[in-house]
Amino acid sequence: MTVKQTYIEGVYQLTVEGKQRIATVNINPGISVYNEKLITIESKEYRIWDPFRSKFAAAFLSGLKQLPQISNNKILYLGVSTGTTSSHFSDIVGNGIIYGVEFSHRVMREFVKLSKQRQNLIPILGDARKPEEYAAYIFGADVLYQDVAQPDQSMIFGRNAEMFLRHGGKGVLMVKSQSVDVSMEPEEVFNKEASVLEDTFGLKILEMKSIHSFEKKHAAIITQKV
Amino acid sequence: MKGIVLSLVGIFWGQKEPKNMIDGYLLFNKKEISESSELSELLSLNQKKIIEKLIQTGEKDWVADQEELVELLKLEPTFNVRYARTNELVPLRNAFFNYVKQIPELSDERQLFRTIKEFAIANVTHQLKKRVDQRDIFIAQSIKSIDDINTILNTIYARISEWYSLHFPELVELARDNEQYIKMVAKLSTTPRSELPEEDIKLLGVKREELIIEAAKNSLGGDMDPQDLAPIKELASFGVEIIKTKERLEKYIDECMTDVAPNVQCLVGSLLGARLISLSGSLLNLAKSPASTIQVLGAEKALFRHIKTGEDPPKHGVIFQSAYIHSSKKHQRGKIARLLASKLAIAARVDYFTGEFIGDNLKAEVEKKIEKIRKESPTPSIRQMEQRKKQKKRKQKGKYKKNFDKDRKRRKRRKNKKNKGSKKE
Repeated sequence: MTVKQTYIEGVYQLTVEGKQRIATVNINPGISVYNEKLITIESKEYRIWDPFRSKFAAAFLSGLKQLPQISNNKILYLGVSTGTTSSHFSDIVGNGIIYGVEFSHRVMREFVKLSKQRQNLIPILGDARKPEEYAAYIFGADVLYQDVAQPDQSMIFGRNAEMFLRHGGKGVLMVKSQSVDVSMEPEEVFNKEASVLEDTFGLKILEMKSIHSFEKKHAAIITQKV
Repeated sequence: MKGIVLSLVGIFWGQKEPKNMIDGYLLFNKKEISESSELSELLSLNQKKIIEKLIQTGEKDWVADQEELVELLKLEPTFNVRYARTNELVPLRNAFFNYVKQIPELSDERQLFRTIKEFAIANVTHQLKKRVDQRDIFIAQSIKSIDDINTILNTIYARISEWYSLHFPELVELARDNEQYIKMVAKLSTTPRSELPEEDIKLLGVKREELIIEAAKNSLGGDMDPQDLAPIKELASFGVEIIKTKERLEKYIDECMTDVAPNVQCLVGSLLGARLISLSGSLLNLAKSPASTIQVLGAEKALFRHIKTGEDPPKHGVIFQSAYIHSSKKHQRGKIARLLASKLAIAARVDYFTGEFIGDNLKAEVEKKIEKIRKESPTPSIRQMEQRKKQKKRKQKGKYKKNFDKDRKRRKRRKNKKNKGSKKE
């Protein structure tokens, strides 16, 4: 079993039984958040990051090379759901913080439980379409990560990037093509969303790639605020 | 004119464009922050302090983008307050993010995050509790439970009928439905059928007593001891308990609907009304939905098939369960579904926003218009008859995929027609 640091600090590539996996070091050893596998190597406990449950992992394993650093950054996470992906961010973030915004009451109940176990997760029950409503909680973000599956995804992303993302900060938008338009080809939808981000919000597109090996009709768009 | 920004730790104000500089602030008391669970609460605790300090600045024109802050500022008659235009305060807010680092009381970032988190958890907990006060979500849960129970009931019925039929197979045909059969088996399986006293059968209260008595005497089923009938009785009694639970749930839904959505209840009844609320997620969601959505709630498979392939759209979703629709002639159903959905939309909105009872009026309107539809189109129009023929033909040929190629031109035509407005040729 070997451990290798990847280009994202805090994310490791493990070779377990001949298979490559990515993982983060568990800040709550012994506790599994979403039934992921826990592996101890040289007295460090790693949580295997499942790309079929977390789109960030899917993006990484699909070959995206411009994903942002998480460590010691302030992350604004829109659509945090029950906390699968953000639990890994929480392992990595160190002295930074994760603002988890979620709209659904039922799902936020689960996330609050998780945030009580992990110091660096802040639960915010609110509508990402109206960033003014939770602006009081946010003290600037270094990274914006969004996974909301709404038809106006790009508008939501752009507005939050404008309001909270610092200049030079990276933003990652996970696009579900069916949420935008069920009858258009996924490629068309991805290009359309990317052009909204560029033209309406002036964000620079660093990288765009489909993550179809793990999630059909989904893509990751990595942007940067100039 | 100054821009003003609200954060959990305090209020910050300053020049907007082009300077974008913070030139004043007021911090909230730590104790107050940890004891509040809502922004409006925190603000009203500090109301006097804030207004006094802002008056001291000499500034009268204020711009803010946060609702609670605007409401607070408007309370001061000498202030001229307006909502910020989109992104008007973004540069000032960015300046605020940097400014905070300079303030000694806020320089410890870990402490700052702890404060934010404490408030955030209090706020979320408070919001979650508030939500439960609205009973429409209970209605959605109840109707889903009834569906769960029906699935269980069908499974149990299948098992009991197979098992008990080893002894008394004729009973299955003599029962009106699944539930009646289960109830009968629960009562009759105490004794072998050859020993069944006639009074017991009469006690069932079903109309086919004579037939059952006959069948019990001359049954083709095998003999079974009371000992072997006992487990069947167990299972059937369990089924009867589930049926009673279902009936209690239906009563509960009825009461909730009277409380929460009496207008919808008046138009389509408690169960169908509950189903509509459940499908859209909440009464507010139902009230926000356009009538066209309400018309097809529950027919999503057909709806998306229509969007993707250009096939005919569904005429009705679950509202088909309303007698107005399923008891009408097939060619009238589309119009009636559209009509009913539009009145339902009105009913849901009144139920959510005002709580008035206008159900009787709505129902009368619906019935009057249905009369009109029935009178004006007693027979299908020529176009409708051709549609029926096409549908029959398509169904006769088996799966619609066989006609996929033939329909390609038609689909393409429909798609181009739809995209004409949005696509650039």
